[in-house]
Amino acid sequence: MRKIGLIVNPIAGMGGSVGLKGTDGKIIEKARKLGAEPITPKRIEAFLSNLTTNIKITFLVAPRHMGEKYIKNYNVPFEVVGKIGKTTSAEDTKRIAEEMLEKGIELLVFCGGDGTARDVYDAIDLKIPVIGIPAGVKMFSSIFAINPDAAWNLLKSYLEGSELVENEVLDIDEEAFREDKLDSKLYGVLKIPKVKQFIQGGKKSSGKKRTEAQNKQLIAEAIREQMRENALYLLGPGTTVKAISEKLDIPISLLGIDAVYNRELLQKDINEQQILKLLKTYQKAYIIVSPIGGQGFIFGRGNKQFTPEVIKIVGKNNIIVVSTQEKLKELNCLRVDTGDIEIDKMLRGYIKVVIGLKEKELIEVK
Amino acid sequence: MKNIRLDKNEMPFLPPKTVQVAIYNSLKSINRYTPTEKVELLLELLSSYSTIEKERIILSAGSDILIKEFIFRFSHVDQIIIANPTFIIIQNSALQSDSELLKVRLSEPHFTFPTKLIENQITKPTLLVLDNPNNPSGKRIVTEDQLGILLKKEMLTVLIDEAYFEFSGNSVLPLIKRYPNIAITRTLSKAFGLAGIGLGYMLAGETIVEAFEGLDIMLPYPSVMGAISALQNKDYMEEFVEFVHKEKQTMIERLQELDANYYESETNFLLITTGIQNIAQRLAEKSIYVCPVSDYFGSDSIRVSIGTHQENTIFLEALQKLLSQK
Ligand SMILES: Cc1ncc(COP(=O)(O)O)c(C=O)c1O
Repeated sequence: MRKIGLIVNPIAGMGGSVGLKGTDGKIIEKARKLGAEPITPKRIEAFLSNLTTNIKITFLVAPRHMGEKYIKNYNVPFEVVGKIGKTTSAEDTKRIAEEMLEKGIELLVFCGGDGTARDVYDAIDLKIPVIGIPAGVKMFSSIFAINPDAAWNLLKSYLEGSELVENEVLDIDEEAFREDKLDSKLYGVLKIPKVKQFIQGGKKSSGKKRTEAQNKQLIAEAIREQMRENALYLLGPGTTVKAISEKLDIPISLLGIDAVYNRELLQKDINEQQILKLLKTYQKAYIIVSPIGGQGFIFGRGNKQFTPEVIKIVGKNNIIVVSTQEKLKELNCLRVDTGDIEIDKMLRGYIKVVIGLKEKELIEVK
Repeated sequence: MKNIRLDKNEMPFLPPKTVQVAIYNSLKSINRYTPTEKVELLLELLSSYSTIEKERIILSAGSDILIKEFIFRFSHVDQIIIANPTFIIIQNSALQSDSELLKVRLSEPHFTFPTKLIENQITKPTLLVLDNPNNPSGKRIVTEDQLGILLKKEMLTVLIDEAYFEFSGNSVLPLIKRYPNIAITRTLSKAFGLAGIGLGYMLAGETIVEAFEGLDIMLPYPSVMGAISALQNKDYMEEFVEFVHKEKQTMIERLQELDANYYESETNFLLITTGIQNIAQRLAEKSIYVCPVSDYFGSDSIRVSIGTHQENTIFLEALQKLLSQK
């Protein structure tokens, strides 16, 4: 029997219904006082209601309202992992996820919000794939399925042997978010299954298909080929940009911004001040960024170090956007939110995105 | 249960008996190559149907071959521009070429091709290939006027695939008479209800006629005879088209009642967004086949051909059921 983990964050999503954003830390008490009801039960029920007995898996679940309570109602084999107290916290998620990993789960399903995704990332990293059932109010991380049914389809696809993709977990400052200031950093990357495409036979079936990993390689190759001598390249966060540095054999950071010059690492994980200083020294500079999956932000989420001032100095024509087709096709448009209306305006309109070795897509920035 | 095929934008009816008989009779001399005079006759019929001299018509076994051949013959250009989404044959052929490929995202809800923007991109020898109306959106994505402006650029060569011309009633044909660097492909597979004979043709500007010299595709005799008969009896095609538009309207009214999202279409198919994940598969389980378009839209979107009234009704009932379970 294949082992699948299941962890539910029982308090995720409580803030939203009473106008609070997020339920991290102390705010949960306030939410309860305001009469908030957890939305996880509905979400997890919607997910599990797809269960049929012919599915050959054993669920390893967290105790009581962190999983056990819901799975009990279904006629499927399960095993409870770990212990929890009366109130639960992030620590419980992390600890139990680790225990499940030791017990040999091959995939972890979790229900929660961005905070839960970060806890899961702390424990799981890229060791095994995960599926996120969205329950939080914020949901900025692109690792979540759009709804419980979609999450179920992902599980089905995974069991049938689908491809895996890496998506971002964001770190939103909840304090700031409650004050309507949105700030986010890239927190990490998780592996998630990809829905198997339902393709019908017939005359019009397409030719050979490349995987997303192959596409990243081709993008990296394209950038390496076009990199100019004596120009500064500022590489943004994410796995697509990271593939470029791997191609160049430069050990850059996955989540930060790094400076590359003549195909060598100049400076690693730099902030705005350091970037501005470099821009004074180097006349010709390019920024390489990749949109955040699911939302399409190329500036303003996950890469705040690229401030309006930095973007202005580098100039719109020297911004290179890279993305796999897989990520791009999920987006209607790209977005910017630099915090400076003028800069946002300058960036709007169509922009070319490098999607392969000799392939680009022209897409609108809004 | 009988299979319901709404996935390939075919006509749900057979062409009239006369056309069928013409095809059938051709089998009696199937040991022979297609006589030249029959090919000439077909060219003359197409010439009067398309209102263009026959010297500018290039015949082929299906218009998809012409699209592939066109891209192949012009693949020495520096850059190929296509729309995204577009007809899969256009995209795949463009991917085969060594030239740089620029896909231009068409934005909902109008899916208009941004010609103004493209003007600035034509700084080197460029091939532009568009399906108009566009598959899968069903929209006309560029107008004659917009293309006319682009065609002033001598570095540009254009192919417009008008497979659904008869449904939209709109063509960029006048441009062929004015500019040497544009061609149009059309087909008998759609409005004429003859997908099985595989007969397509191209209406070409001067430069393109030259570039295609030497391409003599041997056309099967039954295809040529079927095409001749279809063009001699083309009133039936007009009835087909009228039926499709009426039935499409009925479907749209039902889709509005069901609160499903659809896009107005100038073709014999509709792009529909349902909110139901993996909708194509769910319908296939009920032997209703529609085209998944998840390469561009979510798995809740499908492209559905207009079938017979009964087929459409069965599709709509199945959709309604799935929507009520949501
Ligand atoms: C846009 C478009 N062009 C061309 C074709 C194919 O035409 P033919 O049957 O002549 O190859 C189709 C059929 O689906 C189509 O959608």
